[in-house]
Amino acid sequence: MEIEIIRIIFLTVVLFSIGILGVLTRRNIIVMIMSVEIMLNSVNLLFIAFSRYFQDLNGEVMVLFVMAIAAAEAAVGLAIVIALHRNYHSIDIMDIKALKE
Amino acid sequence: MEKTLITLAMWLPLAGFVLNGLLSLRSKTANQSLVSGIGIAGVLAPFAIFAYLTFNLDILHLTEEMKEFVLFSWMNTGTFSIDFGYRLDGLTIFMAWIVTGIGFLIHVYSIGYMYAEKKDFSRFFAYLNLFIFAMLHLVMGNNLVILFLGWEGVGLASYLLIGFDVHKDSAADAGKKAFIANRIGDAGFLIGMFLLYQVTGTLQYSGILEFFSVHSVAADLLNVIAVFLFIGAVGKSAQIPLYVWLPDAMAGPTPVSALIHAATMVTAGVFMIARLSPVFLGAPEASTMIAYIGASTALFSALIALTQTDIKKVLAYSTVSQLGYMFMAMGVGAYGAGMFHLMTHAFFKALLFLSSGAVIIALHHEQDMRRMGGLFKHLKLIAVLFWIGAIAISGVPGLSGFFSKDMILEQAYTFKNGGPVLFGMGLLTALLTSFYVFRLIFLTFHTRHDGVADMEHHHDDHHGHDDHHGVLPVSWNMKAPLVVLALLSIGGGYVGLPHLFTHETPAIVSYFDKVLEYSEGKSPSEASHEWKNHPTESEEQVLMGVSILVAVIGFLIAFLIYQKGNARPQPDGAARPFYQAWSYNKFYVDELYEFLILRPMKKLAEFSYKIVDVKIIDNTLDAIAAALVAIGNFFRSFQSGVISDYALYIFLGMSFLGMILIGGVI
Amino acid sequence: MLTLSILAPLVAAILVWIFPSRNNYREDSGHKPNGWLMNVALIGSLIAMVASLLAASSFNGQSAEFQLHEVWFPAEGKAINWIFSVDGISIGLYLLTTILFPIGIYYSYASFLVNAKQGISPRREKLFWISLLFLEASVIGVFLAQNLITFYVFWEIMLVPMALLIGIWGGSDRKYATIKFFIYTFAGSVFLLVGMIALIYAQWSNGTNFDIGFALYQNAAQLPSHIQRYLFWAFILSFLIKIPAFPFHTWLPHAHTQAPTVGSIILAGVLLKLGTYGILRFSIPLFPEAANAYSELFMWVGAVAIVYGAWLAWSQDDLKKLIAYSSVSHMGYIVMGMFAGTANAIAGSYLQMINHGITTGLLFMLVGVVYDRVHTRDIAKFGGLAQKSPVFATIFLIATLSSVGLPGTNGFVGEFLILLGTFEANMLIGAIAVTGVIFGAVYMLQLYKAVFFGEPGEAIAHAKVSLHMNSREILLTVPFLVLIFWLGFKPDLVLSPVRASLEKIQFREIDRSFVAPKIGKAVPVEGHAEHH
Repeated sequence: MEIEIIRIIFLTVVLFSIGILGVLTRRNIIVMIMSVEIMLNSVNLLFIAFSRYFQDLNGEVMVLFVMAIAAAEAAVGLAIVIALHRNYHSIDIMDIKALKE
Repeated sequence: MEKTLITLAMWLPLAGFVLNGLLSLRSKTANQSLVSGIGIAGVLAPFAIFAYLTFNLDILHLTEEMKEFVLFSWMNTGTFSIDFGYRLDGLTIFMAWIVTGIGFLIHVYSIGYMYAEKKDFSRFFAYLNLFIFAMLHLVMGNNLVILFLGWEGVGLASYLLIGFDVHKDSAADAGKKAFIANRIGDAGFLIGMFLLYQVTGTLQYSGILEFFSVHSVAADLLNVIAVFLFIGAVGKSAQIPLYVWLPDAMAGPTPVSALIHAATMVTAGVFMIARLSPVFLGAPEASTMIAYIGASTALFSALIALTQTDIKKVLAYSTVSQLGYMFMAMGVGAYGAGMFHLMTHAFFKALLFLSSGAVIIALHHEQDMRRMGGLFKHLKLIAVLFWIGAIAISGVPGLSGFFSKDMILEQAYTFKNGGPVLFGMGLLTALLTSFYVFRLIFLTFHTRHDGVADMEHHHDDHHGHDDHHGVLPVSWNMKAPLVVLALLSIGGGYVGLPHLFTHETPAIVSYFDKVLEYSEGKSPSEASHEWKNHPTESEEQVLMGVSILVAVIGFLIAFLIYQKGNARPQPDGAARPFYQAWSYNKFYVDELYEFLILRPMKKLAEFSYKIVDVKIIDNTLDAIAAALVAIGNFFRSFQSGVISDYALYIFLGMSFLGMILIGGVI
Repeated sequence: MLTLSILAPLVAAILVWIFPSRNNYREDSGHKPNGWLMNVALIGSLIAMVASLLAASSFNGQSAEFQLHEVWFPAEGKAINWIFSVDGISIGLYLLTTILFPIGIYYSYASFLVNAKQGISPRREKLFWISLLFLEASVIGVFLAQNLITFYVFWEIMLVPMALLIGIWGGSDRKYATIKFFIYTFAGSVFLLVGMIALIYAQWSNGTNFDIGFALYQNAAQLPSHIQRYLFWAFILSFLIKIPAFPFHTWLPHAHTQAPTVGSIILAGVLLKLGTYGILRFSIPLFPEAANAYSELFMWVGAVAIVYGAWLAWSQDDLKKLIAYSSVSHMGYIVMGMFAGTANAIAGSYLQMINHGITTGLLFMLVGVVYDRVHTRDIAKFGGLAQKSPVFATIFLIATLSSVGLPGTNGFVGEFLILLGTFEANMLIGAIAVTGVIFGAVYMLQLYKAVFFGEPGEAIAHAKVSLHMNSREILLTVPFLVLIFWLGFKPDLVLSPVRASLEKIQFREIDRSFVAPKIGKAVPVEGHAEHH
């Protein structure tokens, strides 16, 4: 059964929006990282959908790249979270405002 | 030779000022004979030098080069240059005689007058010498800028001497008032000077006189210049509307009132008009205005003098009134008469002031005539001298005041622009003058009221110290100058015997006609010739008769009211008939000025500061600064330090860019 | 010599810095000031003074050119080089600066001593002297710089030590005053920088660089008139704020009241002159067409400042504020005279720049003398000082008279020439400005009366120390007094060396259109009428 491309686009937009909302509104850094993952994955989904739609493998190659980067990013991100937690004893971004100074 | 002498004469008073000034700063009680020696030398030396010059030079026939003595170049900007120099001619030597002669007498008198003030003795003599220095520059300078130097210099000396008693707020206020009233005049004078400079291209007298001898200047322009110059004279010589400072100036010691505020400084305006005769003689309308202002001042201040109770205030208003006469004479073009009255007035008014000073000293600084009376038996010589002065000022024939005043009245009568009106005002003034001066004499020296007993009673009541009883003796160095002045008051008028007696031009008039000659031999009398009618001899007789009559009437009224009727002026708070109240309160002019000028100005100044400067200008500035800060704060609020906020900005920014891109594609 | 007068204060500043001495005491510890530090600073500024006098002695007053060139970094054809030189316009102000600074430095020491006697010790002495010395070097640099960029660098550097002086040793409200002073004048300077760059940019192609000299003036005068006008505004705005001219004057009273005495002396004596110096150096000669076009406007600005400043001074109850506003009034004369543009007015303005430095400097110093003893500036609390301290009263009177322009003092010559020159240019404005003569007397005499006459006021009666000036302070007033009378009788001391330079700036001839038609040849009088 072929799913119409427009529905997949719609799904990815919804996923991406959820991700952005998560980044913007949540105060827990881990949740924010997860939201970023959602955004990345929504883009991945879109790549795959178009790759199939245009019968072009380039899109799927791109997805592999993104997944690798996402993994690295998650690793670095979590490491930063741990470092922050050591220094601030909190992973709430409202407690961490070093940028303001 | 002459140059050295004149330079010495001009600068020795300053040396006296500096020496005595330093003495007063160094020690509180300087050696009084040293101080008075320095002070007297500072005025006697110039007097001797001017006397020497008068008798050794033919003053009336000096060439233009011989009149000028240039010391050094004062200002030089390339287009404008003014020298610091002096001018010796008939007018300046005449004034120099009066300044140094009367100055010398008053210096001598001051030794006695100020003797008790051990602390301030040297300061007083320093200021007197400063005054002589400035006044000599006023009259002797060879250009208008030096005249202005002296003009403001005498103002400074006057300021310092009025406020001589530094403890008294009222004295300081009076000094300030005098200086500022003079400054108002000076501002006008400066404008007149600048306008004159535009016309003649120079401020040296020789240049100005030469200019007017080869150029004719439209009368309307000269009228403007003359009016502005006259504003300066109004301030310095205490004419309406700036006369108010002079009565207050009586806060100064009495010798100061005699020297500065009667004999010399206040006549500077008259001198200035004579000095710039080509300007004023070329300005008929301005001259007419001067005559009317002079006449009004004479009458107005005589009215005020009628009811004053402070002995010095009466004399002060009398001075204003007599100055009004002088300006009346100058206004109708009778320069000889004006200068004549300047001289005789210097004699008898100095005499009157100094005699009143003797009374004041004798009564332990009492100036209120209501506390005087019956002093004749205590102060016989002073009373006689006072009588001489009074007779002279009131215009009784034979004494100096009669001749000069009569000449002015006659000249005023012949003036084409309302001569009889001027004459009437002058005559009325003469009547009032005679009345108030004899009123003064009766209240002070005669009447049955015993001032001495009153004073002792008063002292017992209020102070309770016993060593102040009785009339103090008047020392010889106060009496001697008085006698000299009395002789001058008697004899000084004979240089101006009227036409009626001699059938010639009065000697002093022809002297000034010769001295003030300008433009191809035209003298002031000739230049103002067409301003005047020509009285017949019988008219002259009537005029003189009338003026003698009013003097006698004035005397009789004073005699009847105060001697026979034994009337006394009322205390300050007492109810007076309204005409007396107006005169007593000086027609409320001070209050009027306070209300109309001073207070609005002060309000305006405060408004400028509190509203315009602080509220509007400074607040605008602060508001601009605050607005910038607010803008800064607004943008600063975006920098919250919260990562998700930054993420939002990134997102919004990206969306914005994206929309632009998409918009661009579509 | 010129370079030496800039370097000497800087070297002295470094010596003060490395001088072994404790620096910071508690204010109430009663420590005396360190005389050695003062000596080093004083010697530095005295060397500068001697150097400047030597330079002046070899100055040729007949020439209007830049003279005595001293080159640091020669950079032919490049934009920025370091050349110092003087001409008639700068020589007088240069000397005024080098003479005022040693006096100010020694005065500060005298003031520290008087305060130490009352148990108030000086704060952060080293920094104080260093600031003063830096200020001196930078002000001298402004007058001597012969390159726009060098000029601008000194112009800006100068703000820093001055801001420190006000901000550290100032009065209770010093923070506000410092910020206002700094930001306001700095904002003005930005216009100046933009103007300078634009000026050079506009004519870079024909080889003009930042060197202040004949080529710059020559080329600038040929700019199209609308560009001239823009540039004129950029320059003048900065100068007007510095002067300060109405309506940009509001920073001045704050700065003066909060500044320490020496700060006020220097501020009034020298810093305000930078604005008028800029007008003479740049605004008028660079943009003659614009200056001419706007001359009437700026004459009005000056005349308004004269009268308005006097009014404001009249309604003050703070000694220093009163004198600060009197400065606004006096600077009004100078601005008016410069834009009147006749030879007399410009010469008078120049003289008045020097005069104001002397007179107002002296006035601020005297206020400082009395402030050190009574610690208040509220006029209402004074009174009766004449009997307590006659010497002080006399010197203050002389300063007052010089301020009101009494003939015989320096103030008169300047005012007289300005008014005369303004009258030649525009009678109405001249007549309005003349009223300043009256108001000047009003506020100064009111001040003098309130402080010196009458019975002793609250502050005078309760003063804890002798109100007499000590010999140190009297000595310090002597140079001022000598100059007041010297310039009063021989203004040529200032006017003749600068005449040649000022003649180049003068842009207006005497307007005699009002009087000329009314003058004719005298008609010889035919046959005098008989009289009497």
